[in-house]
Amino acid sequence: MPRTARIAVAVGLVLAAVVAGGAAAPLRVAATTSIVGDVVRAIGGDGVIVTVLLPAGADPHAFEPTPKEMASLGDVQTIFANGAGLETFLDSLLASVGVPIVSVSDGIAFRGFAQGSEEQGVDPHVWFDPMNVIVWTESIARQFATLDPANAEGYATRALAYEQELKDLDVWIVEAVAAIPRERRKLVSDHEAFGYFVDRYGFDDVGTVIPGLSTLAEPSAQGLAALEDAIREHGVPAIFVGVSVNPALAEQVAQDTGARIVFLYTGALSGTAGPAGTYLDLMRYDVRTIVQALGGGP
Amino acid sequence: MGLPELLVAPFRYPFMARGLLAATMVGVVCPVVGTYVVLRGMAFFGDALAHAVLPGVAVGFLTSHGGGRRSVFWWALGTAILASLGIGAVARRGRLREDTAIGIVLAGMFALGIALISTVRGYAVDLVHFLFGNVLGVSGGDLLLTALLGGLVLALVLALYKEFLVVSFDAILAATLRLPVRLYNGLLLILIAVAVVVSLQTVGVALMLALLVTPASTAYLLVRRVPAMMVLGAGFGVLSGLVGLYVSYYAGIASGAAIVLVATGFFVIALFAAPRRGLLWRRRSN
Amino acid sequence: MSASKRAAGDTACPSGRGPIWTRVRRKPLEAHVAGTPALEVDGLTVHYGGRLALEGIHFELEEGAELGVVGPNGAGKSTLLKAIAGIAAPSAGEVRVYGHVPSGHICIAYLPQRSEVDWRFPLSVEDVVMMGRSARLGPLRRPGPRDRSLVRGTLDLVELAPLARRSIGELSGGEQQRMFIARALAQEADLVLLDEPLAGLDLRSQEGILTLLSALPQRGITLLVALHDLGIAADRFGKVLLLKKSQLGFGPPAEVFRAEALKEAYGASLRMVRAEEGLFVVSDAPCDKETCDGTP
Repeated sequence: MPRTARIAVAVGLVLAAVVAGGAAAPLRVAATTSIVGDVVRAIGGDGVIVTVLLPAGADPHAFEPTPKEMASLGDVQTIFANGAGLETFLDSLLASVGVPIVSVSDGIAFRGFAQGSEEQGVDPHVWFDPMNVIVWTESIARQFATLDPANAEGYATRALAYEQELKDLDVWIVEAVAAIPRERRKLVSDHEAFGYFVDRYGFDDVGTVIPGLSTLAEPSAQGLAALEDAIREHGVPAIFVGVSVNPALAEQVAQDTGARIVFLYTGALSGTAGPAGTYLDLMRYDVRTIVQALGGGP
Repeated sequence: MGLPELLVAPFRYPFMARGLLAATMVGVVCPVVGTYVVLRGMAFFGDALAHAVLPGVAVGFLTSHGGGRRSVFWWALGTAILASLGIGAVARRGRLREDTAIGIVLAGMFALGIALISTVRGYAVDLVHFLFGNVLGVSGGDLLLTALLGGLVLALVLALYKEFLVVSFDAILAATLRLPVRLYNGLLLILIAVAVVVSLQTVGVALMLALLVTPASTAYLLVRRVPAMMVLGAGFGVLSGLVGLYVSYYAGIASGAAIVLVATGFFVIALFAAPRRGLLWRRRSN
Repeated sequence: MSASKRAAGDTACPSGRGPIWTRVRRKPLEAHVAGTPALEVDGLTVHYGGRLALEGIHFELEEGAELGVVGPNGAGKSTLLKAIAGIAAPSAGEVRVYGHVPSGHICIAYLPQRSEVDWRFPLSVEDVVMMGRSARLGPLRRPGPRDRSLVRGTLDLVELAPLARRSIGELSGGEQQRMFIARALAQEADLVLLDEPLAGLDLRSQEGILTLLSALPQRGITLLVALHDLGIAADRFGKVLLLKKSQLGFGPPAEVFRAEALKEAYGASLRMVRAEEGLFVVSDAPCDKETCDGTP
């Protein structure tokens, strides 16, 4: 072959490889919490690489990313955040990365906090109501379709399938919770995480050890006293505590009132080896634990 | 609610009663040891010691995987004792002035503690408790430990009262009397370290200094002899704890801070009103 | 260390450096070797702060002697007292108190220049004097009635009894000095070293202190006093030691205070005046260019 022709073929092959490689290159995205990350993975499928910023067991209310963790966000194309104020402390850090941030909770009908709470703003623990997560799947699928129109159909299909699973989960929870007699559906937790759950599934929020959404807040002496009174008055048998939180205060309250400390997963997944490796597993584990603790069956 | 009911109501809750016991014990031990801190100008050292405990707390967390509070306590105690002897040695040596040397050790160890804690991805709330105290979370076991160690500190301060006094007031006399000055100074540093660690749960690092220094200083303004200073200082310490807990309960503010504010209030009153030494008296005599 | 029995009536001056636990709970040992002088200084050389402070000091004192130590600033007077008290270590030579090194004795009292104490400590005069009893009592023991009466006795002696309960921050210079002397007596000291005890006192107070000090030798106490005032040294002390890092003279004042020795000690800062009796009345005055032109 003449020399110019050989060069043209070589260049053509290289271009084709680049185009092909580009088409096959996986989409890189990030998620703030592992719960958001799990849902993003479910919808993104195998062609997407999801980096979760908060490590397993980390407390989302008190997280400080190290420089290495920030660097891991280096080449993502979008960041999925819970929104609703959960990650306000991360806002400036995330903005400095320079990629679009999607607050997956936008569009949900938020609730405020229980009366007597000191929090302003909305309760960000929206994932305790699976119906809210359906809003998440829509936001996520939309964003994927924008970034990767070629595979939009795949994302839509997976989103629909996941929504069905969420609806099934909702039905399952209603049945499971029915085993608890109405008068025993009283929830005492270490901080205000279960607002949406309580609303949807008909529980009473008796109180929290820490009067606020953040695990960093300090309870007042009178607040603790009122909680102990309420526990005794309602005969609440269990105090539900997030696994990633130090239970010292809750332990004292439990000891004083005769209630038990029961651990639940609240802000993060357990990791694949544990009982709450995915969002769906987390909800099932938490609900089963609640049902058992409040005396709703075996 | 009548006054008697107001006074009794908070302490019907076991966690308040335990908090009061803790604050009382700490309110006795700290001013007694704090008498020497005040008279020897060791306030900065006391503050440095409270900060230097942080790496010990962090290691306690890491090694017990966040589960053992006892482990954290013993690590903190060990670190405090080492830090107190170490700061003492650094301060004596070298061309740096004593307060500079103390400041360097304080900042360095505190940073080490923060670095270690930042590797723990959860339990950040305990950093807050360490900094500001968690007297409402005191357990029965904590109380026992506080009583035993606090009692030990008091017993030693009383038993070796005249030795500590001579070594503190007139080191040259101590030398000519062949008292083992280094031994007693070292022992005093250790006692201060134990008092600091035992009190951290009540007020936390940030306010620890106040418990060591403020009630004893209030007493200093009012009495003329050291034993009286210790006793009155302990009295102010206990009273600050009691009144502080009431204030924290009814006003809804953090208990550690309330205790320190009450103690400071007593000091300010003494500053103005003390016979002979108070500001009001000095003004009148001028 | 051999532990021989204390002979009855002997001065209780425990000695001996053993392991740390015996130092804390001291066992009294007989220290006064019979027939030795109260103080022997033998070729003493001391470096202080890296510099040579004293060189080749050599003298002896019998029990009950009074020695005035004089010399210009920086002559090493304080260093000498510290070395004898056992709180500065010799680089060469020896100090022996009743036959043993000073560090083994608790019967040596050293009164430094007053400013080294924190007068803001809440203590009474009685409290400070009682501190002198600490070594005799040992740890874990409280002062008893014997100690209290002993302390009261010393306060009577120094004429501070009415001020026993006074706060030390309220004392005058002379009262402070007397308190420290009372403490030395409470310590049951056999050797008392005073560093510039008259500094900053008015003449009347100085006189009071000197009278008080002169009463000590008859109680078997050996005195060393470092002072500035050559006149007082010449008048009041049986023996003097003239120092300027090295020993320029030791003995009765008339022998030691000769022109050459004084000039060597005080150099150009000396002004001498001839008086009636033919004795030089000298003063250690700061040198002024116009007046210091070498006139002897």
